[in-house]
Amino acid sequence: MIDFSAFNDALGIMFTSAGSWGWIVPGLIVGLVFSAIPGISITMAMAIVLPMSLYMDFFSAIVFLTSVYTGAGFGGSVPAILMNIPGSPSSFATTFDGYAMSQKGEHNEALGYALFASTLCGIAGYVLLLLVIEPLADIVLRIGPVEMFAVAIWGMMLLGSLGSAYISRGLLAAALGILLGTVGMNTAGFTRGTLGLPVLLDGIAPIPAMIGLLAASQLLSLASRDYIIEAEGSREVSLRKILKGCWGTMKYPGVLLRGSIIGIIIGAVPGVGSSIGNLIAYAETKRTAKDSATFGKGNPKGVIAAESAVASGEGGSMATMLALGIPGGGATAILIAAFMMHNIVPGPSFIETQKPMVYAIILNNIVQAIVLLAVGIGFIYVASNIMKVRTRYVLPAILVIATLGTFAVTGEAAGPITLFVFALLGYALNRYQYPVSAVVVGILLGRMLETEFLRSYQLSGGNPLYILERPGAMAIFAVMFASLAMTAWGKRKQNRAEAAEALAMEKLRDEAAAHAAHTTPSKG
Amino acid sequence: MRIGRQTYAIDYGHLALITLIAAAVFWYLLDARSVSLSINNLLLVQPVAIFALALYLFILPQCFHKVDARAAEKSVDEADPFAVKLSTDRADVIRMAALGLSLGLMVFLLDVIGFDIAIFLFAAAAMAICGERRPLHLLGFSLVVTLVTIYGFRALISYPMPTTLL
Amino acid sequence: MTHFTRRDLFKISAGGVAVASGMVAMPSILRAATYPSRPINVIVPFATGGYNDRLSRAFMPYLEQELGQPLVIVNKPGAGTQLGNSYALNQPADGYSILCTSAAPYIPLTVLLQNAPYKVEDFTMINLPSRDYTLAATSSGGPVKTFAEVIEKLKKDPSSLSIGVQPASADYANMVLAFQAAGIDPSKLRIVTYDGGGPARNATAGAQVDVGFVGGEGFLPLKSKIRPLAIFAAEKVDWFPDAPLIGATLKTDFVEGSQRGWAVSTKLTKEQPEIYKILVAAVEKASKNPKAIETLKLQELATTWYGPEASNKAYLDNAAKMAKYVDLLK
Repeated sequence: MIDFSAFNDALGIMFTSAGSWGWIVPGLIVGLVFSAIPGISITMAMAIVLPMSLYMDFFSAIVFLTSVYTGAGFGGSVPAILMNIPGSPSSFATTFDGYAMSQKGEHNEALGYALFASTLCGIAGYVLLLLVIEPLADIVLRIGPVEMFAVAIWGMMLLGSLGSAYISRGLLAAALGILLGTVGMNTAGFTRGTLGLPVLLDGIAPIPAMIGLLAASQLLSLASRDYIIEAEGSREVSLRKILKGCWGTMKYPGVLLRGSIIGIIIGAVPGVGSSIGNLIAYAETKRTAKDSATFGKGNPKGVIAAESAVASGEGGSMATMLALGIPGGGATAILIAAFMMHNIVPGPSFIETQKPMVYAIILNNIVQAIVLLAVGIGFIYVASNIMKVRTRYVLPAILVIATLGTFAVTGEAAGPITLFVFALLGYALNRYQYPVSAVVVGILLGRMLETEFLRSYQLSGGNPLYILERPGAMAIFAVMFASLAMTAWGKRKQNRAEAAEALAMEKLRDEAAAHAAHTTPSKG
Repeated sequence: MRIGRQTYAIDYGHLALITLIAAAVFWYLLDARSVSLSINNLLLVQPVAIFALALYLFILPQCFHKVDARAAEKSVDEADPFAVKLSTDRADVIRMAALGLSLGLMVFLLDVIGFDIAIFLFAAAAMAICGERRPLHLLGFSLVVTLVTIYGFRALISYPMPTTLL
Repeated sequence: MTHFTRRDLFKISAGGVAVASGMVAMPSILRAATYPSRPINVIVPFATGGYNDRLSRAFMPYLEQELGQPLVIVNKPGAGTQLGNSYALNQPADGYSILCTSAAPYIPLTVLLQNAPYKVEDFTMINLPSRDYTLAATSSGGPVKTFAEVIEKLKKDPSSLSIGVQPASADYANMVLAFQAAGIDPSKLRIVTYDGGGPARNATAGAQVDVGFVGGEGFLPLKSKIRPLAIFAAEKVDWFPDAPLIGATLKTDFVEGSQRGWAVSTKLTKEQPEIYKILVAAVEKASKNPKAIETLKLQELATTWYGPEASNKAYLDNAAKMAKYVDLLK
């Protein structure tokens, strides 16, 4: 738990180095702007500014970089909501309901929901981190391939909630995605499906592929529209509506809490990355919601669930980094490099000897989350104005930016070419009602599925009873199945209730008809 | 097409798409198997590929509609909240195809004619496709997009970006 | 800069060939006299934040001081350094592109296992200050205490312990060589594969696997979470003195781990020997700069000056050994 004397010292560090606070706002803005560019992920945004931070003193550099991290965590949701292009894989689930809301003219509210969920859960993640940083670190290292495989499967369950008119087409799309995700060299060193191209040895770059698939379904179809939203009255940018969305977030504490817990745990596990937490949080929220049928059609809970997992995952990822010195994902790998460049090696000895500094970093992140609220409102206010620009200006600019964004991923034409090839695939899949989202989920999770499944197999020597030695994995599967069973049971109850209601209505109608029939003659 | 007494309409586009997917999956499976038959290689890939091929056989009949059943099927399409409704209006399809084609041209020409020229041409083409006809706007805005993105990204990323004029 | 960027365009046209050959024909002394006259690209075939990236960034100010021109770090990660290596070879041999890379065993491995479109000899080392060695380790709370115990257990039952290792790496070769020397059939072991040193280390520290074979340097931040069993080095390693040498338990051949540092294309040393000399002198001076040594030491980065001859020998020896044992890796 909290070491109070260290906490006091941490407050001391915070106030004596007040000069470094000045880096919060620039850091947040840089993070917001960079990650709003399609193709620039959180990791890349941080990699871009890392060299800059070399010239600052240690605490300022960390404040600046973590501010970029905090800002970038939210920035990706802006293009996701306004244009259905996730800035990075972590904001993929935000597109489901966020874009649907903005198509209904509720983009102000959607951005407000996303921002507030991001802020609240960012704070929640760090507060929890303050409390449990050390025990969490030990648990995290114990998470093995079987547990990770369970998590990957959980992520795939999202497919169930992507509901397509044809189940078979959804499954084919998912299988295709998984196979695309396994192209290249696998964890055991076998190389498949690269067509002899060295760029494919590391697999298909997921970000260009994702943008291509989703862009084809959206951006190209914008060509025939004059504005992103067709209804003229809905294009307004309203601070009042943004704030209304922010405030509305408070109405869903359960969604926030669930998203935060999922986000923190998954963020803390090294190597999982931020692309899966939002998917699981979305799927779980949708499945447990009473109004699950409205998800995907602009239900604010979908936006909140996805964003809360992304924001809180940041705290989890920082916990692993500070306590163990190992990166939870790409962004924390950059942070570790920044620490090392300032001659500080994070890890168990750092936490023991420099606890006040660790607390100061965490406290500063909480401050950042609060500042993000103000900076974020300003940012989305400006960014929403894109709705008022005619597509003939927006579309060429966005397509060029997306192309260059994917170029930034790979550093050569391979990125833009991936974008284009997957745009064609995406168009064809959409045309024949295959859920493109299922392909994206497959691409994002395929590699993890294979890697963890393979390691589980190797560890167990092929003996399925090995899972009995892994209580953690059993617990994850148990929670997953319990959640599934409960939903199924809830659905049955709901269906029964609906059926009963329908029956009652029918009865009522019959009675009314009978009554009418009874009374008509007298009238006539 | 007639089989027995029933007349069938074939959805050639759909047929081509899934056959292409199935062929790619089949090729991928063969490629993986040619590398090694070790379980370490095929553990996930082989079952998923076989599952995908089985689904192909399952979906295949959906490409053949009984002619009278076609109208009834239309109503199913509306229910899916995640499916994006693409316009099938002729003018819109042509616009989308033109935009897709210019995107492809830009992507493949980036390295050949330089990023600056490729981006400028694409921006102008895309604006024209979206309905901009005033030459001053067309050229002016494309120029702005080119300058901003080239200089912006050059400042951001360390990779050299081959350009011709800038 | 227009001159520089235009060249890329010319590369694809016939005119480019003429221009390029014209540049080569220029007397090398003349070009060396003005070298370096513009910023120099440092190609790092790894992502931002890795060892080589940190090494290049930490060393950069001291090398800039010697060369009198700014350095620009270009990260070109992917395909086990193959993408970055190919990229470096495709740059003109004019001394404006140098590599900061884990030369061994990555360059030989991409040649041997990935059919990379270059040869080991296409690269010439300037200095490889960082020498890593495979470390066999277990989680600090684990039941196994010594490497002899590992061998004893595996001899009785090859599946009694799980082994974590990165396939197609120096560590993998060492693992196979050690177990073969001990009379254990490696194909019967329970081997868990990791696609990088980091995940393999985490798995070892977290007792996911019983024994991990990974490059030892990366273990330093996690030192308190692991117990070193054997390090595959001939002499005591100064950054991990308490790790027992493999020779103490087992007589076996082994390959050295990653050798990281500065390299250029061999073409440069042939066509522009003067420029190569300037680079070597600059790296030597910077490596011996006391301030550089102090700064890099604090970041756990190496600055030892071995020089081009020793570095090239170490690199080529490693490549030869990798070629010898390539069958173990497939």
